[in-house]
Amino acid sequence: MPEIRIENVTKKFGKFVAVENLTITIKDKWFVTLLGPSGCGKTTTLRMISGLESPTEGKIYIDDVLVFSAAEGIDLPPAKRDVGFLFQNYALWPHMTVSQNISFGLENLKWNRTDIDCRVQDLTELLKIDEFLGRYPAELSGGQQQRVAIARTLAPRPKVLFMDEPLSNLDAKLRMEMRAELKRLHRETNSTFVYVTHDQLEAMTLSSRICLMKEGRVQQYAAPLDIYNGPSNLFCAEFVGNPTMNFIEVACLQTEPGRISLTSDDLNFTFAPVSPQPKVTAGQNLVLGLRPESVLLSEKGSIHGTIYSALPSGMETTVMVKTGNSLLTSVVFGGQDFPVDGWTGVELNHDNYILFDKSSGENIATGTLTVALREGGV
Amino acid sequence: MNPIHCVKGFFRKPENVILVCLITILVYLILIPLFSIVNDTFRVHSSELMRIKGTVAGDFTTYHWKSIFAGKYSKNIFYQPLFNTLLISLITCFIAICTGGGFAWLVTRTDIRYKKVISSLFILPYIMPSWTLAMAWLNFFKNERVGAPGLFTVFTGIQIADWFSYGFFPITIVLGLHYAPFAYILIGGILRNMDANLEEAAQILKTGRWRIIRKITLPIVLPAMLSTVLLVFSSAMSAFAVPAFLGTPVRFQVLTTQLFRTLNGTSPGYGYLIALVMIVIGTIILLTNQMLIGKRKSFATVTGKSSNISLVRLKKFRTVLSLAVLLWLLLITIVPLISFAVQSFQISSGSFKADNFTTLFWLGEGRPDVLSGEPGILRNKYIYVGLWNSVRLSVLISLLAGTAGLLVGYSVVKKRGSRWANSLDRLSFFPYLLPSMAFGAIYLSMFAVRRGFIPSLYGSFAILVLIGTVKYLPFASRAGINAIFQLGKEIEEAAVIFGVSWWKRMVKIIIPIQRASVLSGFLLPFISSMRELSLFILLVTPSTRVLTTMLFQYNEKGWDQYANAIILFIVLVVVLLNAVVNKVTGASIDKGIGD
Ligand SMILES: Nc1ncnc2c1ncn2[C@@H]1O[C@H](COP(=O)(O)OP(=O)(O)OP(=O)(O)O)[C@@H](O)[C@H]1O
Ligand SMILES: [Mg+2]
Repeated sequence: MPEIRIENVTKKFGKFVAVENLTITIKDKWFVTLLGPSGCGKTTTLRMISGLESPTEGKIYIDDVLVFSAAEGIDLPPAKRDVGFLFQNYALWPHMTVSQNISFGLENLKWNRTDIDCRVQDLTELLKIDEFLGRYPAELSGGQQQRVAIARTLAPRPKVLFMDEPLSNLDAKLRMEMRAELKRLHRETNSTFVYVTHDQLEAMTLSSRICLMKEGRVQQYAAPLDIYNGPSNLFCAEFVGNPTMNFIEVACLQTEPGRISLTSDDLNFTFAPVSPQPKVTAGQNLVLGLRPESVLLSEKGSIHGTIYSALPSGMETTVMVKTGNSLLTSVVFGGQDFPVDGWTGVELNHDNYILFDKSSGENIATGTLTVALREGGV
Repeated sequence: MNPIHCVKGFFRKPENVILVCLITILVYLILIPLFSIVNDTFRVHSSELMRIKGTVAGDFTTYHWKSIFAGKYSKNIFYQPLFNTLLISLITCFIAICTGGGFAWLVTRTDIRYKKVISSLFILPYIMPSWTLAMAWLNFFKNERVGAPGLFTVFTGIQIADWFSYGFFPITIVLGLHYAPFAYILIGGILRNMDANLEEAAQILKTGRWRIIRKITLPIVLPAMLSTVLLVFSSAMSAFAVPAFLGTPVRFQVLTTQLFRTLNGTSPGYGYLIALVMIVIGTIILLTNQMLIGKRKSFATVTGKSSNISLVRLKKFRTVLSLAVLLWLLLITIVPLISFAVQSFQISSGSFKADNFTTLFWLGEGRPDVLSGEPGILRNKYIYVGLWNSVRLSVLISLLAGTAGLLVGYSVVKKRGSRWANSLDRLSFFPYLLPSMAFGAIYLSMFAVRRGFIPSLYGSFAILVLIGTVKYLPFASRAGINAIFQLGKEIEEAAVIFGVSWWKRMVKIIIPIQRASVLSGFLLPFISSMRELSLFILLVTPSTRVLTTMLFQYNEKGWDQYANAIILFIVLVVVLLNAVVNKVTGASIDKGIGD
């Protein structure tokens, strides 16, 4: 079963370190997404696994076969790694028709003509491009080109499929459709997918695991909801989720078992961890992270604020509330609008508020909050 | 709408004004000469009165057509040279594309060493006059047929067969190497811009290395190869100096050498007809080329970012191949120059005894017993006149052609797709297809008398400038079109919104941004005219002669030492200038040709 193991892989371009000490395991039939801001090394990682680029250090196993090892001087060419690769820009061959593009890989494998025709027929029907078989890539729309590229990649039935931002060039509607299509393909083809994107929503909705990267280093490698609920550091917390998490800078006043007292500019909090009690000392600088859907607007809220802006989208409304000196984002479900500058209460009655250490950015605890306006505050 | 307003509106746009002006001028300088050449093939010329009995000069006659195509001597004066020309051009294309394309692939797609050096060395054969290599060939491989034997025989004692020394074989080799840089630049440009993912996609799909080259790379560079064929074929067909040097000893004739003989001799009518045939062949190639490229297979999507090309690892061949390539390049570029240098110090070539060396040909005052007492190159005032003429001519041509090319580029790109723009585009490329010597002949006959507002130009410096400008307009206009096309229209439009005048837009925005491309549009005509021979050879007079025509005369007289010294001189001037311009501005000829 194709399991991909990457051990301590580093890639340097000259002095520049593009990927640093990457160690992840991708299990059979997983849909793993490499997620991160532009230039963080996603494409480079993918190219290294597929054999298009040689790492500077480390080892890569595919299906328990050592395909790369810097120490032992092993570097299998892409053709021997039995993988498929969907390029960000499709890389369709401009001088071949759609059907020639798709059957090219099969001809290399010496399939006979009838099998090839069969396979091309099946795939193009599946991807709804069977009417374009005789056209050249330049005569297709972006979305159609992309589906041709997918068909070409899928044709030899690779066990492992790498995709580099395959949806980035599509319009929003087509992108939604193709996402659903990809997820279905993943199920139907029974293969392992490694997918690159910098769209966090795509990563959340598609993957079984997300590998979140920043400046060549893995920040967190976990299931999407685990990252959403338990981001390992401030970067992960900020990168995943839309609208982004609210962050409030606080300092620790005092700590006792089960209770940590915190203070911000104008608010006092009591944080009760539901996770193991973290080590904090009085005076330590911390950051509180509040998901927008855990910031509730209600009359009986313990703190008050005014509506700064309200963005109703129909299904939900994103509201920004000004309390004291800070702006909090809240998501209210249902098609509700709020008058700007109107008065509202804010309630924090969930148990998924996160405490980060400010200097290291690490997640140190999850818990509940009680809030009070500080005496003498606004 | 009122038609007058229509016209006014049309001419308010600078691109329209430029378009109309340029088309008018080019029709006058290119199309009318063309008609005049057709006309000349049906006229009796004064030097032919002896043979065409009972006529006076200027009479209508079909004599030339009959005797060229169906006369007693047709085979010798026309069909055999035509066959030679076509075969030479074909094989030259083949050699140029194989070596140029192969080198381009090596440099862009493999981890071969010394890429920078290889690149600059490989351009040299194009910068050097084409006959440099021809003369080097003679220096090394000539046999007893023309005086002293070449270096090869001197060193090895082996006699060389005629076919190796002269005629078809050396001509194709020399022309092929001379035009290989074309292929190198054109194909290399495509390879460099070609999305590496296209090849990687095939690699992932388990395609073998050769199959990738055959099925993916080659088809994608095919348009560039076709353009190369077009350029090289036309150039090889109109090459004069190389077949003249290498073919004459064995009376190997091609169309251009026939052209020179007939036009300079007593049957200009034949010459004009031969010129016409060459123009027709060139046009057919151009049209075929356009038809092939215009087919449905769209190559438009070829370019893309090719940031991370993974280079083919040559592994154990890397060092060997790199050295071999380097050695070979040195052999065809530096070694010939050294041989010229050495020979220019020898009283009689081939002897390496100490008393055979002299600085006479460089510094001597002229000894009556050696070569008619001609003073050495550096003391010879005629050489300086020639040098001054060459430089002056090339600078003027480069300024005029470069400017015109930029204007052509501007108006063609602005009016892209319109019928006028297409006509201007084709018209400005057309001089490329006119064989230089035929072109010279036309101008000779056309401007010998006063024409409209243009006075008689025969023997003047102006006619050289005029013909050079028109002849090199194709280079300059390609570069101009390139420069403006790459810029995109938004940048200029942003300035239009602010009400910036056209002149200011050109000088302050367009030219500075595309400095390198624009400059290569000036550089190419300069270099080309510095080493041009056949275009000027019919038009120069003693007071307007340039270095290259002097070189040709020395060569005809057999004064090899002077000829060698002058070649060295020209190559140094051109290479130095190219290097300086390249350093200062970043422009280089490869940018201009890379279309
Ligand atoms: N061939 C190369 N030479 C030098 N540096 C490179 C090369 N390829 C990539 N890099 C650098 O490595 C880093 C990672 O590049 P990579 O292409 O993996 O980014 P990415 O995460 O895919 O970004 P994007 O989302 O923009 O595609 C970048 O900073 C890039 O500049
Ligand atoms: Mg990328």
